[in-house]
Amino acid sequence: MHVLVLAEHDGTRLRAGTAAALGFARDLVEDDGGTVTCLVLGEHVDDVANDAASYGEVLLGAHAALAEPLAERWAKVTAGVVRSTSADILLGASSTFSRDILGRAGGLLGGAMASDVTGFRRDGGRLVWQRPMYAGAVNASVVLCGSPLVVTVRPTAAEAPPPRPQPGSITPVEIDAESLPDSTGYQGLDSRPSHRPDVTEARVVVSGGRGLKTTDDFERLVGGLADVFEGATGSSRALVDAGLTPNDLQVGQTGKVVAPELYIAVGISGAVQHLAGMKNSRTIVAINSDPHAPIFEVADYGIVGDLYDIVPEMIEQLDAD
Amino acid sequence: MPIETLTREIFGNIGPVPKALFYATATVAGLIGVATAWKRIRRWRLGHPDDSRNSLGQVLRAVAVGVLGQSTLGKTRPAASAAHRCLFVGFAVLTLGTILIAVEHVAALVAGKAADDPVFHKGLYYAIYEPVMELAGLAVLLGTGWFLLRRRRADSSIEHRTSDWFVLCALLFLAASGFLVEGLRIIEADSPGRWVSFVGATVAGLLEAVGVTRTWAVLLHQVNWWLHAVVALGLLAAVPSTRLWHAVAGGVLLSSYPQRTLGTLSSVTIEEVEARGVYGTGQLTHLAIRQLVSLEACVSCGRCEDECPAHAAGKPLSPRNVVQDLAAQLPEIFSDNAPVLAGEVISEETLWSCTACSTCVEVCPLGVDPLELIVGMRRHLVGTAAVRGSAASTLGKLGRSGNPWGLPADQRMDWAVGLEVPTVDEQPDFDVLYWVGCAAAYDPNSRRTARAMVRLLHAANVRFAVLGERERCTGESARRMGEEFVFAELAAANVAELSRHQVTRIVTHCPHCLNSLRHDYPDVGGHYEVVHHSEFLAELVDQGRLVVDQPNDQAVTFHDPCYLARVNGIVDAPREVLRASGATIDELPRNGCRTACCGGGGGRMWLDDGPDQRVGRDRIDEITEAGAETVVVSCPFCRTMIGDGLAEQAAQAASVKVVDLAEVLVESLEESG
Repeated sequence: MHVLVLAEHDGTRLRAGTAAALGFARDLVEDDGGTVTCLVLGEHVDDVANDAASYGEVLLGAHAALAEPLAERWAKVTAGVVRSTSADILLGASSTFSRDILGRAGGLLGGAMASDVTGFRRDGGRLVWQRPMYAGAVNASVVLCGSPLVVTVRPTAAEAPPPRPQPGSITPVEIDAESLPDSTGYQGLDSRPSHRPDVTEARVVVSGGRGLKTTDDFERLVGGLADVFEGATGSSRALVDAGLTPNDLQVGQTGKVVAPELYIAVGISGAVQHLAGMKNSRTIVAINSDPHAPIFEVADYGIVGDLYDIVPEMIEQLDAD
Repeated sequence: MPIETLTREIFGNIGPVPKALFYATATVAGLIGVATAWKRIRRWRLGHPDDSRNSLGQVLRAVAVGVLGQSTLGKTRPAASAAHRCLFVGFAVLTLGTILIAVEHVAALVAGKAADDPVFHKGLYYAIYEPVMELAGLAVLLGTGWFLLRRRRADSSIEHRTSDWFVLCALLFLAASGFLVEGLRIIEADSPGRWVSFVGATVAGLLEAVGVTRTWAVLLHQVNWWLHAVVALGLLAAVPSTRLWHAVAGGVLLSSYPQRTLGTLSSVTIEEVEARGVYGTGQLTHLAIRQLVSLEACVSCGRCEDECPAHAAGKPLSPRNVVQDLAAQLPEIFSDNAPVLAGEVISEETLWSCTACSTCVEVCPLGVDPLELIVGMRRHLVGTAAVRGSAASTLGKLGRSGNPWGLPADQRMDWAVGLEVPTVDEQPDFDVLYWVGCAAAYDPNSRRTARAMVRLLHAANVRFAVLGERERCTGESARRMGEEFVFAELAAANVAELSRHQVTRIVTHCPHCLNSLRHDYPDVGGHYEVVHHSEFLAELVDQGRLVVDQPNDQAVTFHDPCYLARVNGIVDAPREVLRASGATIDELPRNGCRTACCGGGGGRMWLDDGPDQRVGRDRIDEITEAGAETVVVSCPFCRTMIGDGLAEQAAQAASVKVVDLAEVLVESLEESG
């Protein structure tokens, strides 16, 4: 079995989700001794290719026409590589990027697709995929009919694999820029510079709520705890309303929907508008002074107490490790 | 002087040639007026036919009350409304008087009577007719004068066009020159009993005092008569091209169609969509005839803009501009490549700014319904898959899970843990169904409302039941977001469930559920008596089934929800409940039916906004300025919006408590202690 993983990257490194997808791919081929190849597309992406090579074989399609991840171009190139390498499975991390490109590539290939996969098992010769449905209320087992298979994987579905002692080889892919469609164009990128990962991508999210009093407190406690995990910071709507955090940190029904491996809710009471944005996190830790706060109903671990005492101590102890 | 001799000569002092000239001019002016009017009316006919029209009797009643009585005027801007009444009633009376003169003139011709021997324009009739016309002329002067003065001050909410000066000056001139013509006629004809026309007689007296002799009066009368006639006929010809057209379109709108109940929306079924191939308002031709008429009825007075909470919050929405921008497209209605309304003529952001609070519909004196237009265009956005972000994901969750947060149905009864809450299966002989709604089912804060409510129901020995896990979102916000089919699906499932258990009476603490069950569900075959918990609790207190034995003498502030107070007129019941609990109410500046929106309605609850652009900010300021310690709400959306909005103050100073009125009442019962 040959698995091709489409790399999502920031121009220098693979995104965490893609590393997890590579780990998932390695688990897939473990039994039948198949191969995993990472497809890196873009322009001036040698660094990304080297990063990807630390996990295994890499195909590198570098061309000015692929400078931006425009779905119609990337999907066409990706589908071409799937055909030419006779890949059985095309894999990517669950993200807006994959939803945009892999769905389209699946259409071009006439393949069968499962999105947001969290795991798999083998049933006889068949692969059975697990994916949450109805907002996590149901865990569906899905068998895909047809080929190739196109699958997106939740970042929480697997660990990033340990790097290989010997980096894999990097093989260039010919890009025929003339044949690529150009009905969509790149307008620009609008993003907020931050030294922390985006809240929707991070494996660890630390969110602050009404229990915090000032912007400095948020940065020192919530930000400090997030940095220990190299995680992202999030916020409840109340804190955005209080003017303490920017709107784009808001997690919830009207903000970002996140599902990290670890979600730490600091001083968040747990209104449903917030729960709707984070309840699918793998492990939820809540810190709140009110033992009746509804956040404890969804939390796996709860600490009742003053966050101003608890969080500094957590940072101190975790830093010491 | 005997009253029988009172009269005046029609067309007195006007010779046969000028008279003929006048007939010709009047005919031309009339033809121009009719032709321009027809151009406009022709456009209305491109709309799709309305399902309901008034019967003749209803039309006459509506004309009498709504049009002539101006009953829809005056909910806001009392001074302008009074000036409009003066101007309109005066103008209408003068027009009627002029028509009577024409009737008299024709009748005299037919009867072959002499010019100074009228058929009925004499005697007692004349003695009443003249003073009434004098008063009407004064009213027009007064009203026009007020409007001219107002127009001199540039008030941004009042739209200005150059033609407005023409209209107002022409009206002012008509009233003034009318009196002048009358005064000159009195001198020239030396009419008997001149004081019947008391203003004209005063003018005549003044003219005589400055030395206008009868000889002069003959000439001046002719000149003035012509000026008056030309301006009057010019105005007649110009009616369809000026703001005066609102009187015609508005008259048609107010009289021809049944008055719509606030909180209702016109429904559309999938069969209709398939038959017409149209969902929502992409083009003007997708509107109903009634709506096309309403675009021209809008006189751009800006009353709706004054009251619109989204506009106050700095959103791009002004209901007036929505209507006017659509009206500006009317000349393109016959064109094949007219711009798309939703998204092009009216921006998506504008359409999504509306909280469906319905205040624009309520205050419009002409019966224009901007909300219905906005929902129609939202439907178009939904139909063309132009909905994105949290709005789209909420609609998806509503369709999939039957609640806006996408939470599992088997957690729907988690709120009731530790309480005895029978479902319809467990308690089949219930008297009233308690509709819990999604917020109280899933939101930890709103659960307190439902828990308090259940304790009150038990305390009053009410036999109630809930639908439990089978209850779904009513679809209220889906419908107001333009997603008619998610609404229809949810509503059909709920109606089936309610029918299965023969539900006739429903109590709910959510005004949005209430409005939907009351006003949306009849469209899908659900007919129930729906009461708000405030009404139900007031009833229980009134019947002595709930006895307050621990009155809490706290002072509270009550926030009226739009869908309870303005839309459904429930204003007294929540106050009765609060007073029964022993609380005193500090009223907010905007209260009762004229309440202010929290910003959570119309699907805005599910849209992402920076807090500084959030609708309802001014309401939070109002609550803070009132120095409230406890804000009593009676709507889950208001609870969230006000609770979150007060977070800023809470972060800085003493926190303001936000509680539902059921919680206030339950605390005053002994068993709660």
